[in-house]
This record gives sequence, structure tokens and C-alpha cells, in this order.
Amino acid sequence: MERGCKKIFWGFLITVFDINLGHINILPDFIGYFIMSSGIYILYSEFQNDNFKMANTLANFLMGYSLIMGIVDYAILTNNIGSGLYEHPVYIIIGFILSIVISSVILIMAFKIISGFVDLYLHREMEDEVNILINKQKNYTVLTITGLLLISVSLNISNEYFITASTFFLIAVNLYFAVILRGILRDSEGMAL
Amino acid sequence: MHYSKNTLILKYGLIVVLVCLIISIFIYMQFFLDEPVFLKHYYDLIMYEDMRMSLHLITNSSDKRSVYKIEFPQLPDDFAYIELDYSINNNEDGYFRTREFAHYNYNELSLLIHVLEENDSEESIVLDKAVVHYSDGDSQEADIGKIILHKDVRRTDILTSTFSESSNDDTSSAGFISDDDIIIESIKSNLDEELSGIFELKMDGEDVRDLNYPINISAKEPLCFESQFKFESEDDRVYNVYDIHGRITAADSQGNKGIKRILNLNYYPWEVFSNERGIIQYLRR
Repeated sequence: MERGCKKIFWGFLITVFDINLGHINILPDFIGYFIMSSGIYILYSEFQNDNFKMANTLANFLMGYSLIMGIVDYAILTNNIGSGLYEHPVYIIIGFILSIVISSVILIMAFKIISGFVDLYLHREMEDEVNILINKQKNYTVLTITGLLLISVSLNISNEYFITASTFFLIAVNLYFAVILRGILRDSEGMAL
Repeated sequence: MHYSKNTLILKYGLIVVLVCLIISIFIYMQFFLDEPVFLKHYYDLIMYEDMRMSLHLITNSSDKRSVYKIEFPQLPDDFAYIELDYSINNNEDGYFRTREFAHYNYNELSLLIHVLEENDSEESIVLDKAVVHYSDGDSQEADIGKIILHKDVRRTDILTSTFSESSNDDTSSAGFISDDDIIIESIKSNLDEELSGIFELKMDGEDVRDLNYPINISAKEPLCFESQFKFESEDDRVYNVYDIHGRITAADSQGNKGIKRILNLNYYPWEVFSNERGIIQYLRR
């Protein structure tokens, strides 16, 4: 279990932070989602739970999506395909919808991961840890929904401070999830199923 | 499930996000421009070689095309040649200046004028249309206002400029002095009608429109001109661009006549378009 938790934690951190060498992201997001997916799979194989199963499916989806987007971004960077001189609003809106959808999928995946651990703690009769984790799940969900609402209205807002503040808010929420995972990892150290 | 309450928060939270998204997209689509919108330019310019003038336009913020060519159908081939000023249209959008907002960009495009075939008598033309060619192959014929260009104007040095100042509160001042006794026959521009009610030019504190011409000016008598653009609320002309070369028609004691220009009589609506609300109000007129 500890191994699975570590993979989820480190995989998530890779998706949050971009480490670039020039224009190249040396740890692209699809690697992060791949590591998360393998970590979730370890947990699922040890503790069959629908939440982990769903989280694994969503992690695989995110891995595939980020791989495709990475290829597209690289192709644009190397001018193999044009980035477009005139972006019809339809494409802008599609891009915007995609970013909201993907952020929502990440939220649901994170939610399912935490739900899976709640079920695991209940299975081990760790009532105190269950209550703390449920509370953290609620906080994370509310904060992420708030962030998604900020993004959804930013399409019509030209205030730089608003957009910067929204971006930092979402980064902070992602780091909060990393802290939750860190707490779960600490609880899992030495724990066997 | 112990987390059923959180599941409800997630479910209804995502529904609210979806509703917000749909509303945002609907609002965004309302702002979309089918093609760039050019402001109305009122220029009265006495040309000189490599003179610059600018055109102001509003584009969608997603429009990353640049202008690669501009033509003026009313410009005779032997009058002047106007091209894009590539040396200063060099921001990342291919304009001289750009102000970016959520839905729109407010751009200033700089043009260079080359005077052709100089003749003995003054010639003038009026341009009110431009054909703009964009980098994706599209073209647009735009109504640009009223640009009056003059060439072969008989200029005079009987008046010497002593100072020239302009301010970003749409005022300017200029001083002249003459070594000789002169007669000022008129002070005007060809856009006096369009400027009525929004522009004031004073010489030594008196409005030039109220002066009794001809005016005798003694040698070494300083002349001070002050100008101001001022718009009443609800006056749509605040959205226009103005650049006027005021003309002082003067004659010296030998009767030699010529034109002296008063420069910096200009107004650019940067203040009005300092936020997107101004652009939206302009587009809704």
C-alpha cells in the first residue's frame, strides 16, 4: 500500500509542476498520470474498491489526453503545424471547455482517490482518520469547485490581477491535494492490507 | 457512504460550474466582431517626405493576423505612396501599439507617406476608404473617416517657431516670432466644420475664429497659440482620432505669402479606450 501511495503522490506532483529544459518539459504530465495510474492500480489490486477502479480509469484517460496534447504542443513548437493566425471563437471556446472538463476530471479522480482511502480506513476501523479525511475531501472539493467557477467566468474578464489570482488559487488548491496525499502516505507507512 | 454529503457537494458544484460556463460562453459570443472595426480619423495634414500617420482599429483579442498591405483607392498614383511603417509596426501583433483586453484589442497601425512628383501648385486629396490586406489572405474595405492630404504647399519661414509643447490632457501650445512685420491673413484648417464644438485654438488668448483678419503683427512680437480638444458627455466624436496641421497664412512686408503649420493639434482616444468598457460602448453606438 505504501508503494501505491508514494506513486500517487509523486505522480501528482509531476502533473502540478512543469520542469522545462528550454522549451521541452522534461517531466510531461502524461508521465505523472502514468505513475498515478500505476499507483492506484497497486491499491486496487490490494483492496478491490469501485472508487479506486474509477480513479484508475480517470488517471488513464488523463494520461492519454495529456500525451496527445503534448504531441500537439510539440508539433506547434516545431512549426510542424500552425498555431493559427486567426482563432475563430469556436476554437477558443472549445479550448476553454476542454480546460474546464479536464480540471473537472482531475477533481473527480482526486475525489475518488480520497473516497477509496476513506473506504480503506473504514475497512481497517480507523474512525478518527476517516473523519479527518472526509473533512479534507470536503474542503478540497469546495476549493476546487470555487477555482473552476473562477476559471469559467475568466473568459469575459480582462483584469490581469483577477486572472493571476485565479491561477495562484488553483495552484494552491493543487498543493492542498498534495498535502492530503502526503498525510495519507504518512498514515500508510508500514501499513499492510 | 460516509462521504455521501461530499458527493452531493461535488455533483451540484459541477452542475453550477456547467451553468456558469454556458452563461460565460454565451456572453463571450455576444462580443465577437465579424471583422476589425476602424475608428474614424479626421486628419488635415500638409505632407512632407517620410511623414507618418496612424490608423486605429479594434480587433477580436483572438485575431492574431497582422496587416501586410494597405491601399487607398482614392489616392492617385502620382500624388503619394503610402505604405506600412515596418520599422515601428513591430510589436508581437504587427502593430505599433496594442492594448489587450478579454474580448478586444485596440491597435494603432503606423503608415509612412512618400511624396511623389512635386509640382508648383498645391494639391489636395481626401481619403475616406482604405483596403486592408491581412496576413491570412483576407481583405477588408474600411471606412476610415476623412483624411485630407496636401502637397506642394507654399510654406514660409517668415514665422520662426520658438516653442512647441503638447500634453496628454489633449492640450498643446506653440510659439512663433517673426523678424519682419507680417500680416496674418487667416488661421484655419480644412476640418473646421468637423472640429466645431470640440476643438479650440487660441492666439494670445483669443479664439482664432473670432479674430478680425487680416492681423498686423510687428517684428519680434511673440505669438502664442494654445489648443484644446474638449468633448461634451454623450458626444460620440470622443471616439474619433484627430490630427490637424493648423495653417497660418501670412505675408511679409514684401508681400511674399506662405503657410506656417501649427503642429501637435491632435487627439487620440487612448483614454476612452483605456478599458474594455469604452470599447464596448463605442461598438454599441
